[in-house]
Amino acid sequence: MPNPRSALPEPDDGFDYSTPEAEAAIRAASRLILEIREDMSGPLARKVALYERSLGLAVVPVLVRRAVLRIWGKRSVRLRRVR
Amino acid sequence: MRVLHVTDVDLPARHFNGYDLIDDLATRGIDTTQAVLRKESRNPRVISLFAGRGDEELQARLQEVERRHSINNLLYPWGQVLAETPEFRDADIVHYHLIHNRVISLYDLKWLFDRKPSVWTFHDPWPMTGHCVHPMGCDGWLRGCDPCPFLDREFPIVHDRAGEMWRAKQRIFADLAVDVVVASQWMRDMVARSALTSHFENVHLIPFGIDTRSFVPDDQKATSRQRLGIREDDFVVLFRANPWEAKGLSYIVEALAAKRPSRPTTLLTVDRRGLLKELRHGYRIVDLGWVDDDTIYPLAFSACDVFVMPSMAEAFGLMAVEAMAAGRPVISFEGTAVPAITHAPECGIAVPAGDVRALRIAIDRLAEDPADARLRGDVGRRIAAEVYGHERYLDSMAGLYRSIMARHEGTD
Repeated sequence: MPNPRSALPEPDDGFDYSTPEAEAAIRAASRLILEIREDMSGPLARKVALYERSLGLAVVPVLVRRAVLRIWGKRSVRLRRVR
Repeated sequence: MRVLHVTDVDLPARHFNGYDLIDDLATRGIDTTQAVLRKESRNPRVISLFAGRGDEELQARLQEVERRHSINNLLYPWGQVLAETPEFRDADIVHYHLIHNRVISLYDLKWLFDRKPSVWTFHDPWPMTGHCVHPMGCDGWLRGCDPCPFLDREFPIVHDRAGEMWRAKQRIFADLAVDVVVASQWMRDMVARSALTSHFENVHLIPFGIDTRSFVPDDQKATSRQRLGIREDDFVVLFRANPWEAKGLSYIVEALAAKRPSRPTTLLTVDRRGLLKELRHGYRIVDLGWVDDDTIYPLAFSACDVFVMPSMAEAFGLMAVEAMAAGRPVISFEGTAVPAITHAPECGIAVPAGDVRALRIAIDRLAEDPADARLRGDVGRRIAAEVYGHERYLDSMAGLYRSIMARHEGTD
């Protein structure tokens, strides 16, 4: 099982980035990243869990998790793995 | 009128990324600012979208995720950051430049373009391809880039998602309301031929401008050579030493290695040092390396007899225009924007792409016929002043912005 701190997931071959659904997912992920970036005092784990439930796109939860853990990782944040 | 320029970084590429317009468009009554990811200047009219080190690290992570997933310019959130800035809110027009250098997500384009009248300069063919910056002889961009035979070309991808990216662009571009600027007829032709961009109604051909006055008068050639340590009587060939295949360094090395020109020759290069090891026994070599000092380029052009630009891909060819402004003939390969930019064959000399023998013959021809070289240089200097002057560029850009405002005010 890959370690989220040291490895990124392999590409999800079943995902098509050219679709409107991909666009909606990625734009939502960007908004979430920016929300976390703007307000570090919020309930981060809840935001990420909400995101994971609503989108289910492999790359983005990992992306968000890594953004939280590695970039603003001074906080103690425990996130549920989805893959 | 207020115009905001958006690009990746301010100072590199300042001649064509909007930075040099910041002060100068004020003379045309246009208040100009620039938004970049990384700010290198201290210009107060430039803002950085990165808030700090955390954003730099986020960018690096997003870039790594895109590389691993073989996608281009989808994940970056900076377009949404841009829209929150006072400079964006206050702008009448937003002019986008090198946004495919991981600045704006393709998914944010419609959202941004719908908020402000928008101009997008296509600095290279990337908007028309599945992943590469320059197709370089591949015509897959006309058919959807599926499959892509050149995954390692910039921007390289690991898995072949070029077709998927091409289709993403097709869907996104179908609804964009934007004025497109290109700097060469070569690019305009590509825009017209591409199924991704042929529907754009407002495509403007505006060549970039340079300050032609900054180039050294021809009677100071000997002084320029002295300052650069070049022998006065040598035949001097100037070219860019860059290993990227698009710049064609291997062709000029092969051409020069096959046969030396009839006269003692100095090879004068800019960009990278030490790439001409196989030529060091037949030529004197002066590698200037990467040049940040704006006074060195005019010296280099002044010191040379011919500028060789054997690029396999160029959407404009700024250095060719600079050589023309300095009164030097330019040799290039066919199939890029450069032959038309240099008005070949009357002014520049263009030879078939990749034809090393033809390249060598063209260099020999100018070495053996200084009168022809001088004549071509004089024609080039006149064309540069008339067609590629900075004042003309300012007038063209100001005229474009005013026409866009008039069109939008007419429809409001």
